[in-house]
Amino acid sequence: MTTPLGLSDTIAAIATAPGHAGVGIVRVSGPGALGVADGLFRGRGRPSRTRGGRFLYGEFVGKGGERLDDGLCLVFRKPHSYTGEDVAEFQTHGSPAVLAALLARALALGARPARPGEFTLRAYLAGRLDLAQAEAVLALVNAGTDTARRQAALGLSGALGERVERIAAALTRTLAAIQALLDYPEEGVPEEDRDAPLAGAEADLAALVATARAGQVATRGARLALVGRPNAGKSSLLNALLGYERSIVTPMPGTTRDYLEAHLSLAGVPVTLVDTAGIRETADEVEAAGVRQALSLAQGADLVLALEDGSRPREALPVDLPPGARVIRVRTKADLPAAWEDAGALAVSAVTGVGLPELREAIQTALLGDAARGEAWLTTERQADAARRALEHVQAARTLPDDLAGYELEEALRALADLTGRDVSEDVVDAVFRNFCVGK
Amino acid sequence: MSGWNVIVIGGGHAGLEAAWAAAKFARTALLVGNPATVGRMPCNPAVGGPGKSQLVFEVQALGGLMGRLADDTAIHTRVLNASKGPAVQSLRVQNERDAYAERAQDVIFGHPDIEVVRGEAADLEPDGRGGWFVVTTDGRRLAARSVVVAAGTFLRGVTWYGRQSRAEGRQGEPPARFLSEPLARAGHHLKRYKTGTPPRVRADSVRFAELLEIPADPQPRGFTGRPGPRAAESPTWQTHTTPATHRLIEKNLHESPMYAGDIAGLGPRYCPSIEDKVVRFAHHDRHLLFVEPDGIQTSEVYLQGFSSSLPPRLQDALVRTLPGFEQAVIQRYAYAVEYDVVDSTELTLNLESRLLPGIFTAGQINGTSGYEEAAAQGLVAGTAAARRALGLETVTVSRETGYIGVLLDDLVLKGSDEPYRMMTSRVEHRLLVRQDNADERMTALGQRLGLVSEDAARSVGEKYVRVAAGIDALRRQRVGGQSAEALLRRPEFTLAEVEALGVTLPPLSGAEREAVEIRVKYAGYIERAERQLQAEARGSELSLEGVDFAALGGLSHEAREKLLRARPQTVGQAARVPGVRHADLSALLVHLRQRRSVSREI
Repeated sequence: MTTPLGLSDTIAAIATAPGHAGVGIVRVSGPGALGVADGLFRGRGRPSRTRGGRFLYGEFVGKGGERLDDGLCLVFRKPHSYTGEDVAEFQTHGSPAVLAALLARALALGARPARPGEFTLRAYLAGRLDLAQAEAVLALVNAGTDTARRQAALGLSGALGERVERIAAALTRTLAAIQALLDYPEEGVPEEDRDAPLAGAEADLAALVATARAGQVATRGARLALVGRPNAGKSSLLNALLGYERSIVTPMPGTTRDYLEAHLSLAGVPVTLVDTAGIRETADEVEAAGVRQALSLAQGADLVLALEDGSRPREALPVDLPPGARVIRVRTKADLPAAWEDAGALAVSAVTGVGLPELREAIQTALLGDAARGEAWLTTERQADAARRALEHVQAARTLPDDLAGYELEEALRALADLTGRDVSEDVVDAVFRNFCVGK
Repeated sequence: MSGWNVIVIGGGHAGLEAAWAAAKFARTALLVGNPATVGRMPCNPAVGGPGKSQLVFEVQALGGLMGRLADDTAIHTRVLNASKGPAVQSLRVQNERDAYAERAQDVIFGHPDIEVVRGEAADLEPDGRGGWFVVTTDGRRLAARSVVVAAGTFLRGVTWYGRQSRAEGRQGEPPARFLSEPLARAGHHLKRYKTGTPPRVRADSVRFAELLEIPADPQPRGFTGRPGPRAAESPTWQTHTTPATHRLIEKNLHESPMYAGDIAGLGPRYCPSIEDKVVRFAHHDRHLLFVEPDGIQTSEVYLQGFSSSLPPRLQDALVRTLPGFEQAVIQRYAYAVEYDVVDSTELTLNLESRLLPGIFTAGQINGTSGYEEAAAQGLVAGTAAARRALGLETVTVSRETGYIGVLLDDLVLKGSDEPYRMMTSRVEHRLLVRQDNADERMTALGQRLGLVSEDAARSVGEKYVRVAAGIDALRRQRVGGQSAEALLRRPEFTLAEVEALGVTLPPLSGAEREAVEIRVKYAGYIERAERQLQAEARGSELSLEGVDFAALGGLSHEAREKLLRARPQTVGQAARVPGVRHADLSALLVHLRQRRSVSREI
């Protein structure tokens, strides 16, 4: 019997990226996988008689027995496969035509086309991956940047799950101590100091939550706004960071009336630099519009570079930067004699390149924070939300009497279980449906 | 009269409650070997405590017996965890041991619809028409539609004193020799459990002046709202083990049947013998012990926390290492008992055997420990047995209802590997299911079950109308610019202190005042817990009706087997079946979601 979801079906798909390549793979998974392999592969030995973890060399044949190509057939037997089911993988030359013919043959032999993410869904349902790992697989497939790829690989290795489990284990110990006291009030259970472990858990959770921004930045990229008075050197710095002339650099104030975007990669993170119009009090209506736009762009940015001309007496920015914005202050034109000093501003010269490496470093730290050090990050909004809920409950638990503190800790643990998909709530199932396209 | 609607086998706390509940509907027989043993307290002379008092309050709200027996014979009451919040506050009542049994016997023997029958059950035979014969050892065939087996620790019971064993159900009483057989024959998996009791010491040999005295609460509380006349009369006491106790135990461990490997049964971790405590917590230099009197004119004290299976001669020496017990004379020695239990996962949520329809089991036979756990099961099984006998609809108590629901759900869906004891930490929604609102929570269920009269339900309804009026009065009155309700919500104010500021309340009983205070102080949490319960219910109450576990893809082999065996009705129940992993639940939920969207399309 098949369920509406078809989880008992045998599924097949081309597993390699579209286009010509040296090698292409068609993967078949499910109870009939090895039967399908028997039908389209001819070699020394039948796939269904081959032990798991072995491969056979031979040729792939079409309906009438005609040879499609030669290659390898890899055999995995349940539960020792990615999906936990019987799996056959056909490795052949990566011609789209050959792969299409192989897939068509697999379908004719009883497999149905896999939906997007369905192999990973099966791996998740088979308990081979936790939900965070499954999300990592999808992120890996879609990763557009090196950092995103590295993070996805970390998530896939279960590093995120382990990080969460460590926090959960600490909370569980504290909860157990509270419960022992409540269920055995007279047995002399020692009243343990619970604030120290909870403070530790709170710090760990806060650090984890802080990676959510980094994770999103790594996955979707970051927006950087350059703001400053006219002729503060925004366009020059932009060009220096890019390494070629993107904006028109002129010594006349107010040249950049519109804004310019440029893309570069910093520490593996795709960064969009936005060069905004110079901020000054202006009577020019076109320029005034540009100034307003600059402020709103700065507001939407992940990071603002506030540039001030170091060669002229310092003037405050005539407008306030948006509250809460993350800002790096830069003293430009460091090749010229300094008119002022400020330890809080990085000295950079777009002409000589002085200070550029430090600026890149500062941008990276500001965007990725501690996460830059390689621990596993939260990469989806769902994960971030669960971690934030856990953090709130732990914070609440620190100030409450025992019975309520126990309740808050249980809630925190539930939120962490949601994060890794250990607790199966409707939310988690929602995540499954969103991520794996298993809908109708 | 030929036969009964219900026969209850066993007169302990489960059997009593089963007979009492069944007799509300049906002609009931109570089969016991010796009527003088009905209602005995074979372990400590106390009812209640954390997790357990909530059970008693719920039994009381369902018209049960235990709360009344405990209140009537109370000599000391104490509210435990009084400062730890309402969800975990628990009442414990010390009882006059003999009076408790006498009171129980008065109630049962005087009941017009309960017939006490003497005898030992030897076999259970189907009558071919959905009813049963209980065959006694002397060859009588007692007919009933339903049977409740409440055999306690008696099924093939063996007691141990040191490495000496004898066939006993408990100290000095013969075991049930034959009744395991029909259960096993039907396919029930019987397990061996073990439990133990401490020594009883002659009161006149104890130097009470040396002990730490624990006074009774001056304002006695009760399960029924009417504590007995002597409920504040007696203290209890505390002593502790000494290094000499620990040395003596360590030197003589080989004399313990547990450590010598004679006993194969599984004992409870949470109620360890003194040998276990000394071995497992070697870094503790003392363990607290509680000295509980048997009555006001006590002849005997119970040494709570000192259960042991070491031989009697060693027990004499051991007890004398305790402060205040230097001259102690043991009147009854500590012993361990081993007995058969049924695998509770083979029962329905009404404690009916899935293999023998019409046979119910309740109490320690189901692998629990404690009088309160036994009473709660007795009430459920007795009621269900009677309803079955009369052809009434099956009503089950769900986990969310409270402690009884959690107890049943845990037993049937999770099962146990050791004697199961109720604890507040087992109850997810304990902020909502408290001892103070047991009547409010259980009364409607009690009416549906046929256990609670309309009058009783009306009076509970009126109580909560008065509670609501009290809260309303607090809302309407202002003190220093804020409502009296807001003031009471602040942790530093009690209801009495708010009243002292000039706030007036309509006349309320003590219990009603307590309800007002808890509801106001914890309103935020209670609301949050309610929302969470509803959110969970949306997921966990998803029906699994019509789901074919055998054919559903994505389930692990183990989960498939366990689900086929446990037959959960909802996703929430499936989640509690051991061996079902979160990935399996995802598979179930994904399947249900898919099925739902398909059916919407049609």
